[in-house]
Amino acid sequence: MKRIAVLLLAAALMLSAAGCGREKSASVQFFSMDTIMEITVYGKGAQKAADAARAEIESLDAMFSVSGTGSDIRKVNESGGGAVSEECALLVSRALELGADTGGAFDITLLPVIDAWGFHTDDPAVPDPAALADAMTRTGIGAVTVSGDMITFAKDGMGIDMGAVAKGYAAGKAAETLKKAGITSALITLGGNVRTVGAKPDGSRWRVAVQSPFDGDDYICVVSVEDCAVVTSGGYQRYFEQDGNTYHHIIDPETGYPADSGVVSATIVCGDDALADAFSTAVYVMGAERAQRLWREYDRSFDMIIVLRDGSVLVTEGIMPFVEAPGVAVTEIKR
Amino acid sequence: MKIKRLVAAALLTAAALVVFVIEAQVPALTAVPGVKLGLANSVTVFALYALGPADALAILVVRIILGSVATGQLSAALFSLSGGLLSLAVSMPLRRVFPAERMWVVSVFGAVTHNFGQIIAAVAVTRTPGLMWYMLPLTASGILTGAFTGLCAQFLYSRLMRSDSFHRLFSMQKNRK
Amino acid sequence: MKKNLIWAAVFAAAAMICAAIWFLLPRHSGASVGIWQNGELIKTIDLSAVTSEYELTVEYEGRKNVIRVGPGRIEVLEADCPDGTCVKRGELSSGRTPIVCLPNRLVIRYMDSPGGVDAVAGGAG
Repeated sequence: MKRIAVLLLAAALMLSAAGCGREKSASVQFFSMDTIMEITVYGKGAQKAADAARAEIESLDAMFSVSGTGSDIRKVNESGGGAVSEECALLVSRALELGADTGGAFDITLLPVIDAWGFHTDDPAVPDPAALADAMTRTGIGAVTVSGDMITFAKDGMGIDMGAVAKGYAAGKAAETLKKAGITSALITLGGNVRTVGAKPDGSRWRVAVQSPFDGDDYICVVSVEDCAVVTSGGYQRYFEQDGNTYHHIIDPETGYPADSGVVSATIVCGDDALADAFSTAVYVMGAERAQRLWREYDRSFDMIIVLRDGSVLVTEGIMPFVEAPGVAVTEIKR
Repeated sequence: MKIKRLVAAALLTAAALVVFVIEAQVPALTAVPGVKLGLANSVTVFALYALGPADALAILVVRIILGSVATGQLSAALFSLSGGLLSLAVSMPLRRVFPAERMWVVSVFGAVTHNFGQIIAAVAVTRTPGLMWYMLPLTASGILTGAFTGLCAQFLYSRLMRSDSFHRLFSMQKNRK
Repeated sequence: MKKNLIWAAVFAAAAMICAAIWFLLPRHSGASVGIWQNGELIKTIDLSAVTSEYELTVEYEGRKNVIRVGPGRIEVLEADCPDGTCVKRGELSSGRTPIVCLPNRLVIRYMDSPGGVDAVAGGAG
């Protein structure tokens, strides 16, 4: 009898040891990159994985933030160039590449213009035309070179702002961290960027709503996805009003003013997070026609959901079967 | 004598723990929080009759602590303790009223009280009195699960009563009611 | 055996009554709302169980948000923050986007996925 008791106790102890870290789901909510983030992880070791993903995002925030102390980007902006970490150099160079692919619609060198508008402050305002023109001369993706881990600016007074691609990139890295930890089902929301890892625990696709640019409380459609990023850019996300006009934060690099292409909301669905983030901004700036050309040039390897000012919605054929848009006029973009 | 009871108690604790951990792997049956079979409670009520209230208490508390460590859900321990202690508090006097043949009845009262204790703790922690409404489905579920686990305990008990080694280990007098 | 049957009958009746009342109850709309402060869930409120209106104040770094809770509704009444989007936002409707006060790290949203939606892209920029 004693032996059985001892054996059972040993078994119980071993089970406890094996059980450590075994959890069904974990959720962590925190602030980073100027917005709320939430990571929900399912499966064994969920809590640890969620914490690791959070740490990854926070360290990336430190690296890319325009204002953080010790940020690589801030250092480079203040000294007109400099050495950065390998990861930072890689992302900057990728961002420049993506920028070139979009014909300059996605431009990380707009910092002087963004600052002229005061979008990083609490009091944005329409800039003085002369100040804006001056700021415009200090931009241009062609004027930035990345060589190894050195970033050089060809003009004085330039600056990079990774805001339009950092969140996407961070979401992707967080997803990688989760996958490395053996997680096969998780949902990451970084502000308006959504990243899905695998499918839901029951195997069904994640249902991601696209916020309506017309009514913040409603959504335009729901797209069912798995293992990819869903990133939406829209002027309605950040804007200010002055003298009866509305000015939003997505600047058209050609004019220096908030983009006015007829697109009010651009969503990209793609496995490449940085691309999804960058292109959502680019499409917003480019307008529907140029966006469709971009889509075909890219061999249709990403999908888009574009909402136009008149309320109509354009959806690329790849994702069309997964979009639910009750009561909305949806046009399919075919190859 | 004492060592035998300790071993018996340890044995039951281990059994309860294993059962608890295994049951914890099964996902929740319904959206109502706390609806589960609670098989580990059959060990508690068994211990109440086979060893006595003090040992049953010890087994319950140790199982809850180890169980929350084993499943990695330490916060759940608060609710388990609240439910378990209240349940035992109610079961102890009932044990004197109901003989071993009616062990399942005591288990039903215990299960319903257990759910009640958990809801009370939840209401206190979240300050949401609306949660009390869950007592309706939880009473129904408590009756069913309590009856089932109680019958398991009772069945085991009546079978074991026929064995000599059981009596020796659990230090029970033969023919004790 | 007879005693067992009697008890079984009593319990079965009790269980059925409870189940019946539960299923007949109109209230349970799963209107459970959570309030997060700086990433931590500080309060859950079952809006369907709220009988009369009340206010609660949360504070972050000395800045306050006054939240008004009523039967089936919740909104931010006043906020000590530069943009005031959370107040302009109005009530949390059966809609999907949460009420967020970014500077004060405040998030108010439904606990489960309302409308069967798991996440909203473009929300809370």
